[in-house]
Amino acid sequence: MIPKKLLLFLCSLPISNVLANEIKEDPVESIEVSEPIQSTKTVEFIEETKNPKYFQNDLIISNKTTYPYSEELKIRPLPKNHLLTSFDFQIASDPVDFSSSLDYINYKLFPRSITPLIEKTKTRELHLRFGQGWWDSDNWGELPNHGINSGGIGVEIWASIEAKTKEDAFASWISLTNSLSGLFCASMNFIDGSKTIYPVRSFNSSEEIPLFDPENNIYLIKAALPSEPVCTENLTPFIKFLPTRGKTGLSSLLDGHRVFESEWHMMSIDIKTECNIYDGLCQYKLDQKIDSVVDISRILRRKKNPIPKPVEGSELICDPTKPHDAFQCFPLDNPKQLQFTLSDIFGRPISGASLISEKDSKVCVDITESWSAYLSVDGQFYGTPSNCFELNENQSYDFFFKADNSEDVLGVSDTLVTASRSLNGYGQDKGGSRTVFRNPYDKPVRLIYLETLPWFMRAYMHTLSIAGGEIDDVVESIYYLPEIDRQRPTHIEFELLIPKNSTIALSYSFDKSLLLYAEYPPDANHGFSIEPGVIQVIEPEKYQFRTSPALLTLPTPDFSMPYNVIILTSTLIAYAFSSIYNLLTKRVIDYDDADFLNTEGSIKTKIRGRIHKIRGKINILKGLLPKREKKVPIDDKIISSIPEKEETKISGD
Amino acid sequence: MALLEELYRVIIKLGLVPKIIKNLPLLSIILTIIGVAWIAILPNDGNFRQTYISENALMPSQAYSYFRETEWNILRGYRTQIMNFENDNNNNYNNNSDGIYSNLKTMENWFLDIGFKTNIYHSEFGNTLYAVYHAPKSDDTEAILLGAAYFNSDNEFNIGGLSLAISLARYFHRWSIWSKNIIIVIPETPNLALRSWVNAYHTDLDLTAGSIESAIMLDYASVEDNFKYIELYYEGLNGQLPNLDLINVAVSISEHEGPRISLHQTIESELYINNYWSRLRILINSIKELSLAGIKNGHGNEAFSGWRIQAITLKAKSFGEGYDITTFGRVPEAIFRAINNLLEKFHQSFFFYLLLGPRLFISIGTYLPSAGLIVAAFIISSLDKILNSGFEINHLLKYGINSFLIFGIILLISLILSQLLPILSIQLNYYILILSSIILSISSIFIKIPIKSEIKILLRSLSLLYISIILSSLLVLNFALTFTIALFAFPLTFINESLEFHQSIINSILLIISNPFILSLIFSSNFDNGQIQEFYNGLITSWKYLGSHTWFIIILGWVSVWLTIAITTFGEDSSRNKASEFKIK
Repeated sequence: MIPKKLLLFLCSLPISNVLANEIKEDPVESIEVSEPIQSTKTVEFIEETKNPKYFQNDLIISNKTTYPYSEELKIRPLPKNHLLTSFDFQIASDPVDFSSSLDYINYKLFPRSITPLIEKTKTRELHLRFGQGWWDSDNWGELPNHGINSGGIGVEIWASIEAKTKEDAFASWISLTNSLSGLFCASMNFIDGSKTIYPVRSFNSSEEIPLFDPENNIYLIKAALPSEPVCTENLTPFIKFLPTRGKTGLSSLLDGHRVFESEWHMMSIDIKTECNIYDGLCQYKLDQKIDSVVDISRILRRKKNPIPKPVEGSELICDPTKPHDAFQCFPLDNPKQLQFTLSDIFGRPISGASLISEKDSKVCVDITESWSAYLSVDGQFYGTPSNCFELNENQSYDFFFKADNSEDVLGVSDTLVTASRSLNGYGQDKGGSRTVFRNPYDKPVRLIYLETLPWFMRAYMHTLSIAGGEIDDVVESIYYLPEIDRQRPTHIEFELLIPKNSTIALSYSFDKSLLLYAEYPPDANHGFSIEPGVIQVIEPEKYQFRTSPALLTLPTPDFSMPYNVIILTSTLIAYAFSSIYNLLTKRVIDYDDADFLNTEGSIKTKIRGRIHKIRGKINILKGLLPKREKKVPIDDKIISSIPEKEETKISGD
Repeated sequence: MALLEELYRVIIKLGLVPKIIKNLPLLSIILTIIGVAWIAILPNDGNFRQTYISENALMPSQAYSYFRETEWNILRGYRTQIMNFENDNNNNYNNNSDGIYSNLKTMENWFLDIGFKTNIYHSEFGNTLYAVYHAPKSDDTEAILLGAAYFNSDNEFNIGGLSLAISLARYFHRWSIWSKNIIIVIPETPNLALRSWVNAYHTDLDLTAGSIESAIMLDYASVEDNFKYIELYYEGLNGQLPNLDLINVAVSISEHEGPRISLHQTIESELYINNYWSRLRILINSIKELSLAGIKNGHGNEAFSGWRIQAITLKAKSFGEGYDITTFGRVPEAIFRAINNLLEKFHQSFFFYLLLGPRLFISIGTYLPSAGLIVAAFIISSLDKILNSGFEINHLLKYGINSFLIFGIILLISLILSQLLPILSIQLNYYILILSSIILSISSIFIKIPIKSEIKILLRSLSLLYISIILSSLLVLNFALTFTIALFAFPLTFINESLEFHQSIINSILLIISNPFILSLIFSSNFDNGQIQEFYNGLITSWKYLGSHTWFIIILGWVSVWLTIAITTFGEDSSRNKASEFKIK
């Protein structure tokens, strides 16, 4: 059905020759490798959709089964031996009439896990970004695809939700983020009102978003989690969304170890609802992208020896213009000659093309004359004039790259403007934010700068100042929604006009507030992340990028203090209580009386008196004893009783 | 309560209260002696503790250090290039800033080639080259800093330090393990140039890399390949110290790699000695160095004080044999790897401590009482001035407002002095200060002005009470400075009514030995340049540019009290004769 372009040219040379840099690029013979292939996925799909009839009618076309899915990989060398790889996977669901309720909906390859979410929350557009690393715009130029698919460091999510009221939209949003949190193993369930904003001028979709109920409105909602570490557990669900599941096709290259080893990487998911005005049918479109920049030298070094040992003396590359011998070497990094394969970069080759996509898996390499790229299949190397390759067989593909001068790369498109943000200030109670915009070109740049500040960072707009220009000329307008404690973040959108050839620093001050004790993260933390500022360039052309997140250190109380305070106050209260109690219950007398009483009433005399009394009583008892023994002879009784009585009398006195 | 009652009654019975009041001066001296003796007891076994790594995440020396073998060749390669710089320096950096600037530019290009982002910050104290590596696996919010000053604190060309900084930068960039950004800083000098860069980093630099967690400064001022031991500098401004964990990590790593750590200029032959006298020497030196922090030429770590940056300086000593220079590089390498493990700020270990040796310390609770006792001695002698004045307290109180006013005016004058003196020429006004101090101290023997005895008594008591308040609030924050000021200002408590001529002379001597400016003459000899105004110069510069409070505390806390008491020695109460004063009771 789909005509195959004849793109593969055979270079009939064995590998050894290639490695000896003797590849001839003359197209000798063209071959077509496409063959009718039976879909292996059919059975699985019938089970899932439970509607074989619908399925058969629509999709089995001639004897090749294809689905609305396409995948593409763009490879582009960057200066200083870096390599940008951009994966693009596009999936569309079947067009259906969304307004009428259906018993069933067949989404085809569209991921089954996400559709109920979108439908339940009436999400018309969903954008997810997972990013890590630092984009070096000085060397690498503009972000891929004008930054539309790029987000900040961490996780970012924004969506257009159809709802009657803002409250309904927010409820849907919370439901959406909680579900996505589970799907992507990210802490999106921590998104609440205090992290959510409703962008006014940023993030506006260029396309019209369909509204199914005219009484409803579309609400654009956005949140970010800048301190979320993006890792393999986020990549796995990402790959699961793809019909090839990372088993075949280009996605088989996506190995977590390699993707996250990169200098910079960005995973993006964009889901859109698109409707056809003529037939009223709507469909979901899913666009998944992974862009990453790797340092080729580092990857090759790691492949050779994963332990970063110092290189052998013989392998040192020294600057010949400077003294070098067995003892010293001025290093010459970034070798100009490079040879590597795609499997060096990704750790494995492409295990077969995607056989169920409606288009062939496509790999394009953007290179200059100094570079050459070859497709390697079964030890054979193929090259094309356009450096684009279409893969359509179930066999292992690899790519071979060679550069005579690796610095000679396609000119990067310079960024219109760069921005960097830093938090400054001395001390724990207040601080300042400073964002520097640099426009090195001869055109003024108009942009919208969106900042979302957490509620505990109380920004003061009256302290807003501009260095490097007049505030009235630079700041065109400000949208400012102040924070509400624990409920809403500060939301600022500046419209700025950065004059040509200028550096503008926008700064303002803020206070740091104290949190409730339970709001501090457990243990001593390294601070609170402030989400990246979003810069959307409107003029002279559309471009979008972000600053780095910032780290805010809040005044953290010494949490052992309450314990000390409790102990101290208890001691004091005990002390005060006992003194007062003493005063209230004791008799006040003068010293002489006290001394007299002391001698009279001291414990010693008391005890002595007590002992006397006891002794006396014992004696009385003793005196009584003979009386009991009246059975002894009468003479004895009379004689013994008299002195005893006298004795008791004396002791009694 | 009964026990207290009993005690109270015994005190009354024995008439202890008048006896104690009579002997208050003696009590005050005894407290001071105990306070000083306390310090002398601390190095005894049982009073100090062994240091330990408190934060488990640090794991120093758990990973093998690879800065060795061919990295040495690369280091030598850079060093050969840096050796060419020396011609531009001529050991006189003031006249040759252009040459240094072009050398910084050359180094900037090396950093750019490695893959760092660079910038040169200009300030009136010199240029500072800095380079930033945005670590791929970090969230770009935190950084670790490695610095090497172009000229070290002794104004020597830091050739080994610079080569190490650049070769370590290259070495670090090849790794993918960093969870924090890496900043390399090369200031012209480790003092004002670095401090102004640190200030700028936190206010208006365009190229930043997040909050700096800790800073390691390297000092290797030699072209030699070998050195014997490492000196560690850690004292910060205003009594601030780096977290003890950082020092522990540095000591444990260094001794793991081989070189011994020397604290406070311990000489090589004494590195292995650990006895009472070695500990006492380090303790006294640490108190001295801590109270002089900022005033003396800093080694680089002082410049980071106040910004929650844990900073230390490592200085290689005794060149020519011993460990090779890559060993000196492996120490910061392993420290970086340890700090890289941290998920939180340094907070586990002590921030207030005194070191008795690289692995011996005393925590604040143990050493604080010593200065506390001396401060208490001031309060007691302040009481003594009133209680043993011979006047009824009620009678004295009538003069309260007047003496408060006089003292207030003196404080105001001190405040003005503290702001005015830093603006004036340092050399000239130092001589004026010393001269006027001496004149003020001595001339009371000859010149007398009429001041009522009651006011004199109140002024003395008030000023002693005031210095004790100042010192006790400083006690926890800056123990060393409190201890030193308390000790040197203590003779002020002996100044009494000069009824006899010999008492006047004693008063003058006491005033001379307790005057900060005159004392600074003794201290200055200890300074690197040896010029007599060095101490004063350091005091003013640290106040003006480093943010050190020492000058302010000395002027407002010490000089104001000295001035008040000096003025009282001039007073002569002509309304009474000498005999009558002591008969009133």
